Amino acid sequence: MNAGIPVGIAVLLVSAVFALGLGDIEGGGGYSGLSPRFLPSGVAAGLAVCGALLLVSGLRGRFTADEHTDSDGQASSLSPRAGRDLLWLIGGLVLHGLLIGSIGFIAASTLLMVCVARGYGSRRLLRDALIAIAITVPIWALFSRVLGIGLPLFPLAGV
Amino acid sequence: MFETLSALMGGFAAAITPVNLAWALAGCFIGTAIGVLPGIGPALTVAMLLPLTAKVDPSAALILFAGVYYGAMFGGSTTSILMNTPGESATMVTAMEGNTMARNGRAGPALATAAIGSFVAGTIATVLLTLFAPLMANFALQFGPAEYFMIMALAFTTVSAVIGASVLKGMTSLFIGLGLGLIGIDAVSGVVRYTGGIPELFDGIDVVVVAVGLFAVGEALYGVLYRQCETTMNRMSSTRMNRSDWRRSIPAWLRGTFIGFPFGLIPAGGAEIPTFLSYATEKKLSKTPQDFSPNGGPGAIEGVAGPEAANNATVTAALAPLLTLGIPTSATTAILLAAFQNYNLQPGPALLQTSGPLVWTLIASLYIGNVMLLVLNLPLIGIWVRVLRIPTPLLYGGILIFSTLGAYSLRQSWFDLLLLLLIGLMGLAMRRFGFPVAPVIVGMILGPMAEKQLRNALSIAQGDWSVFLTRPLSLAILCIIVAVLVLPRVLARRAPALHT
Repeated sequence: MNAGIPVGIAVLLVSAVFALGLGDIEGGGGYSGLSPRFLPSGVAAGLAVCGALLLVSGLRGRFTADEHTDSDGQASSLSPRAGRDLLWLIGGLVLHGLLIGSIGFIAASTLLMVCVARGYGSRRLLRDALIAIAITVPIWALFSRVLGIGLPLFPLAGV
Repeated sequence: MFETLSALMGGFAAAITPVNLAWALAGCFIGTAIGVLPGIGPALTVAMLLPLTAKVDPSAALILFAGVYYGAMFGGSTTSILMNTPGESATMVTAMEGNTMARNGRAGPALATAAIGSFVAGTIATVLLTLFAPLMANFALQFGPAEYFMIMALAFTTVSAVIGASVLKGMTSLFIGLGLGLIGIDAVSGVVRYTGGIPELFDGIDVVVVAVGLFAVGEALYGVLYRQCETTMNRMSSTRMNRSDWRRSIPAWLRGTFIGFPFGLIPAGGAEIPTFLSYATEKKLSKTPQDFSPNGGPGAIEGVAGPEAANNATVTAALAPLLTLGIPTSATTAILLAAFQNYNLQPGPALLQTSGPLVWTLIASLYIGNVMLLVLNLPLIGIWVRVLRIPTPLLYGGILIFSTLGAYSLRQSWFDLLLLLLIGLMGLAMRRFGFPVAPVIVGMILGPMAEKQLRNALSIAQGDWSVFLTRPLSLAILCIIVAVLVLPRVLARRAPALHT
């Protein structure tokens, strides 16, 4: 199946979300005669047209995904462990978001660094963690002490 | 004229004392150090240093702020080029073109042209500011919503500069950006749009989250799927600009300066539009448009030089309406206004009479800040580019630490981190299927501004669309738009005829 078909359908779905949401937007045009629905309608219509055209190009087999080829001119290809590597990154980002409020900025960022480096094939977990700490401790000091932006240090322990 | 010159000399005499030079140096240093952190721009940096006004005398504080102002901007460009994490929307174009250059082993020239271009633009803009500030501020007062809307429309007509090879994909990206910009409370009517009842979305999605998510997080997620054994980043060529770089940069700096300067005078939303217009201009005028990154090229130095100059010229020019009318046209100048007020000084027409020496000290310290930043940063380029030699796992780990930090420091909410991940996944899908990401940001920034100005203009005119034709300035900008749309086609039609 040509990639244009799912891509076109996805864009049409986004367009539908914007079109369906129009009903929830209240308010009249006021003095200008343009209601708050003016631009949203345009966005929904524009995305519908783009989605339809993408779908058509997909059905005709004319949609090409890789405009950006690699520097050596070859179309990029999936690395063999791609799925598992990607999960390391997404997992790291999810954990970071979930935990930063409880284990703090430095620990969560260190965890993120270890996960990302693991996804990119690093086997030296201790080195990665130490480097992450070396980056994040000065940042934390700068933000909290100098700039007055409170990054959580270790909320579980109450600091 | 002579009075101006002697007043300026007085300003220099006040600014070039060892203590004040130390303040300027400290400002440049702090500004650069904070500017390299994503999500923190000059406005926030100056705001955080505002309490200093209670402790130091006015001229020292203003000199420090001038240094911070320039330093933070330069720091932002550095990380945009090296790590593809634009700290504020004005450096988005730099991230796009400069990072492409860095990937092709040309981080050094990209950083150099950004540094020297900022210096050139800052210097020219400061000279123009010295000579013509009162005159230009009056010109800016003639701008109303109709004119602003026309300027946004002009920016939209040049959007093709970032749209890439496929018009259909580029337009899809642009509409998605316009759609993202709709989320939140509508600025004109106060109506809530597309928030799904989630309170975190009422303020809208921050552009920084979208820019960092699409550029940096999307890139990191894509990179892990399509890993290359050897990246060209490590094959670093010279860190200096060669003869051809200079030849291509100098006109771009000058054009960028003159595009950027007028935008500083009017409150048209900061440096996004001028950097973008400058990029479009450079791409149009270039003899080698295939070098530009939307065309899949290795990155064109003009595409960094022009927008960086435009950025600096805009923020320098923004001081003219601040000092002469007391009108802040950007976030940073609004905070500088607060600094003035802390000293019981009211910027406005009378400021030059009541505290002339202070104003001239500020202007002189702008010159000094410019020179100091260049001297400080050119030798550092050699150190900066070494950032790229960091092994890939650690480099991407670091990029994601800085990206999440940028999103989290906005309001310390895990919601922004979730948003960052979702937008990163969108960036991954867009990269995978060859959709350009820059039009998303352009649509997101320009859409709400254009909508607001259009509705304000029509409100004032009671819904009469002819307002755009009857106001002379608006009509003039409309003519430029038509020229931008029509001229290239006419020329293209005539060009083959000339060849045969």
